Amino acid sequence: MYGVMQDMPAVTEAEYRLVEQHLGPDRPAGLVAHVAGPTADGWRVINVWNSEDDFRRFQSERLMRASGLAAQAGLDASKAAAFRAFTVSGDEMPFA
Amino acid sequence: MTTQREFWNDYAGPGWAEHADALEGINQPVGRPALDAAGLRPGMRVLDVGCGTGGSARAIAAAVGPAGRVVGIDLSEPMIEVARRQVPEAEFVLGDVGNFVATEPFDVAYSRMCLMLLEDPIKGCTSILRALRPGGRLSATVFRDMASNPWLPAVVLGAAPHVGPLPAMPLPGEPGPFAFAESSVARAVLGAAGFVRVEVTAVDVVARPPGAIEEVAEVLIALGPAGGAYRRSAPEARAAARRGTAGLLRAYTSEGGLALPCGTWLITAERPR
Repeated sequence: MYGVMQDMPAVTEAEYRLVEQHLGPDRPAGLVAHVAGPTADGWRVINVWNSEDDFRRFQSERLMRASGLAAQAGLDASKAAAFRAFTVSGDEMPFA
Repeated sequence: MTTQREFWNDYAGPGWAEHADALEGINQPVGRPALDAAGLRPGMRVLDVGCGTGGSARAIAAAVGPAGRVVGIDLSEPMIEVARRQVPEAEFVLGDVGNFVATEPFDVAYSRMCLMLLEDPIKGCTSILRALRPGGRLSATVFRDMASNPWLPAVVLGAAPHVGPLPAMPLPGEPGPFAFAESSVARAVLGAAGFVRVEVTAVDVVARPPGAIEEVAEVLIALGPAGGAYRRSAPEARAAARRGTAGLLRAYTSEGGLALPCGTWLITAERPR
């Protein structure tokens, strides 16, 4: 298992939904769980993947494209790309 | 994860090589504060870390004159080839600075937008320190955070929907343009490498690349993570990518041209005497 927590400063729910809309309805391969919600200064997404490779593949093949489409639909590009990420790999997760 | 060797040889390096002259228009103002802070004088021996296509080495060679010596090192073969061709007054080494061993000590190590890209920055900076004479100076510049350089993600995201998959964005601790976003990173890395008198100062510059926005967009796409996918795409997709990036870059126009805000750290340090 591979967990990623991404904090996106100044991003709103509407902006998050805009990226989500451009990702389309297909569940990303290897995604185990996804939760998201507001923080004091922006938006937080927590994803658990089967592997780090699944996460990297999702970023490379889908998220960059969707973020680009959202940017062209009005999302500030620096907001779309700026995030603080924290990762945890399977051997650090007690129930993996 | 894409390695820096892969990135600078397969993704971005060929774009830098193709657009070397145009890129100098962007890179010169970014690198100028570190060049000024280096205190170059005729006869000095200077190591140019991450020399790319040789633009900085040319400026250093002019400052140290024929009595001086300039050695540039970079791990991008296509970029080093351009540097060797265009700057015969300097020597160039293809390789990772982390493995560099100097044959004679340098007075100054200069680096323009490279330290944050080192896969092992402490190892790389330790090599730089060992290449300097006691009391020798490091003068370098790196990007601050994304908010200070908002046009960089605009370049990538403008092109991303139109070309093939791009390399995944770097995560914390991985090399990338914003790996030194916090000034504490530079202080920690250089301190661990053995440098003293480390100073990290915020410097804001504006790069004004000449040319129509779509032409500049093509250059900027080519030098970044989208460069490899862009080169492999069909002409229609490349045109759409240029339009996409140009559209996002229009937010950074002034007086009829692009004015790209670049937030950098000027880093200076010394090898202990």
